[in-house]
Amino acid sequence: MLEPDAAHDPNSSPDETPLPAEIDEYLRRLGAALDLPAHVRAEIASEMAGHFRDSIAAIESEGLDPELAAREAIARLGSPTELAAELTSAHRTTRRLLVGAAGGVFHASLGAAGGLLLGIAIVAAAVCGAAVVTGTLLRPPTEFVYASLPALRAAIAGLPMVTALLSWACCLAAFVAARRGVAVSTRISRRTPAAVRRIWAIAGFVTLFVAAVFVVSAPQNLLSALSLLAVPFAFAAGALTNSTPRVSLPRGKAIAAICVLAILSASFARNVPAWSGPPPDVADTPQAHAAQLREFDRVAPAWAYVDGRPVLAEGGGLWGSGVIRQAVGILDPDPWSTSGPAARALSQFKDVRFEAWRAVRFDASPDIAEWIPDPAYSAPYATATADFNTVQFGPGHAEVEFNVGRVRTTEWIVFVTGIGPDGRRYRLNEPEFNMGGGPLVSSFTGTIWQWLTAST
Amino acid sequence: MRRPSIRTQLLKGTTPLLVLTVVRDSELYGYEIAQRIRERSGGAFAPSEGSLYPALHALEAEGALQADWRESDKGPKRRYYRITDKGGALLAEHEAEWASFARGVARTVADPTNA
Repeated sequence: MLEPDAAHDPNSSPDETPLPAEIDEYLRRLGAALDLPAHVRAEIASEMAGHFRDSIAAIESEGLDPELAAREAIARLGSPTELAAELTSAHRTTRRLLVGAAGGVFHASLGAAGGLLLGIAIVAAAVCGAAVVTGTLLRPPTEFVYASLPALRAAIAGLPMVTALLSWACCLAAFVAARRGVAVSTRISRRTPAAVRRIWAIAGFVTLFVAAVFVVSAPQNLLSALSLLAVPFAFAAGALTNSTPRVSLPRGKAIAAICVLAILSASFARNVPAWSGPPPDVADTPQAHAAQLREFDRVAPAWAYVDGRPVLAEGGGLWGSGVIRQAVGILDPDPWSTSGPAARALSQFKDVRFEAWRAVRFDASPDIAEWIPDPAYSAPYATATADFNTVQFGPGHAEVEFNVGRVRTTEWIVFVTGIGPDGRRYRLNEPEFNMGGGPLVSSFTGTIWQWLTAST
Repeated sequence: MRRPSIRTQLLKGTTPLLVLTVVRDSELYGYEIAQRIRERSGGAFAPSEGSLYPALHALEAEGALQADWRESDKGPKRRYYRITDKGGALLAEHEAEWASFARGVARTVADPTNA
C-alpha cells in the first residue's frame, strides 16, 4: 500500500535526525536521475534515506566518525545515476505496462461514461437556457411553451443538430476520459507522465479521428462534422493537460457555462428555424405569387386546365432524415373519381412523373419567402414515374419517396410534370409546399468522409 | 579493467534467490535483508547494496514481494517486504534450479574427469 508522498519525505518525520549534506545531495541526484513518476521517486527517496540512516549508524558503531561513515555508506550504495538506472529498469516491467494500459483504458471508459452524462446534462441545461433566452426574447412566453417546444422537436428530430449536440457532450467525455486514463496509466505503468500523455494523446487522437471520419454514421452538415471532429482534439487536449489543473474551478465552470450557452444560442438561432421567430403573418399577394410562379416557369410552365386551376393538388409532404416523400391528388371535386375534368386533363399527358429539385430560398416580396428550384441546376436530381392508381391510395392519388440521404443538399421541391398534347413538358401541380410554404427537408446521414465526398 | 570475481558474478545471479529466502521467514526492510543475508552466510558474502534495491523493486514489480510502510523497531518508518504466494512459488523454482546447478558445479569441480 503506498502512502501519501508527504509521508515519504525524509525530513517530514520529527523522530528522524537530519541527514548529512552529502547524503542529501546523493538523494537529490538519485531523484533527478530516476525516470519515474513523482510519487515513485518520493517513495524511493524515503526508502533510501532510511537505508542511509541504518547504514551510517552501523558504520559509526564500528568506530568511524560521522563524516567518514556517511562517505562509506555512499560508497557501498554506489553511483546514484547507476542505481537510478537500475531502479528505473526494475520498475518498468512489461507486466506493469500492460496492466497500466488496461487499467488506463478501464478508467478512461469510466471517465467517458461520467463525462458523457455530465456533458449531456450541461448540453441539456444549455439548450434549455438557450430556449429560454431565444424563446423569451423572440416570442411571448406562452407561445414559446405551446408552440416552440413541439416545433423544436420536429425541427431537430434526426437532423444534424442532434449530432452536433451529442458531439459536444462527447467532447467533454473524451476530455475526462483522457485525463483519467493518463493518470491511471502513469501510476500503474511507472512511465513518466510526459511519455504516457504523448502516447495517449496520439493513440486516442488517431483512433477517435478515424472513428469520427470513417465509422460514426449520423445526420451530417458542416456544424455536425466540425463538432464530431472536435472530439479527437478534446481527447488529445485532455491527455496533454496536466493532471492537476490550476484553473479556479468555480470561475472556470462559470466561463465554460457562459461560452457553451453563447455558442448554443448562436447555433440554435441559425440552425433551428422555429426559434428564429414566427413566420411573417402577411398576405400572399397576387403579385408576389405571380413572381414566384414565373421562377418555376424556368423549369416547366404550369398547365392550367380551367379557371387557372392546376391539374393536381398536393396531399402533403413528409420528410425524414434521409428521405423525402410527396403525395398528390387529382384536383377534382371527387378526388377518387377518374372521370372529372382534372382527371380527363391528366389523361392527355404522357410520361407523367415526379421530379425532385434542389430548392433555394426565393424572396418573392419583402414579406414572403418561398422556395424555388435551384437555378444552378438545369435538371431534377431524380425522377420517378407517377402512378395514379396505387394500391395504397387508390385511384386519383400518387405518392413518391426519394432517397436523398447521401446528398449534401437538404432542401427540396417535388412536383409532377408531364408531356402535354403539344409535346412540351408542363408542371401539373402548383408549387405549394408542405402546407407551410417551406421546402421538403432532408439531412445527410453517413460518416464525415461520406459527407465530404458526397455530391451537393 | 579488473575482472569481476566469481563471487560477485554469482551473487548478482543469485540475489533474487537470497532475498526471497530470507524474506520467507519474516518481513524485513532493505537494510535488514542485506544484514540477514550476511549473517546467514556466516559473513561470507552479502549482495552489494547498490544491486539489492533494484532486485527488491524488480521482485515487487513481478509480484513476488509486497511492500508496506510502517514503523520499524527503531522507530522511523521503513519499507517492509514480505513474500507473496507467487514469490513462494518463484523461490521453490529458484531453489530447485540452484540445487541442480550447485550439484553440477560440485561434481565437475570435484572430479574433472567425471563425464
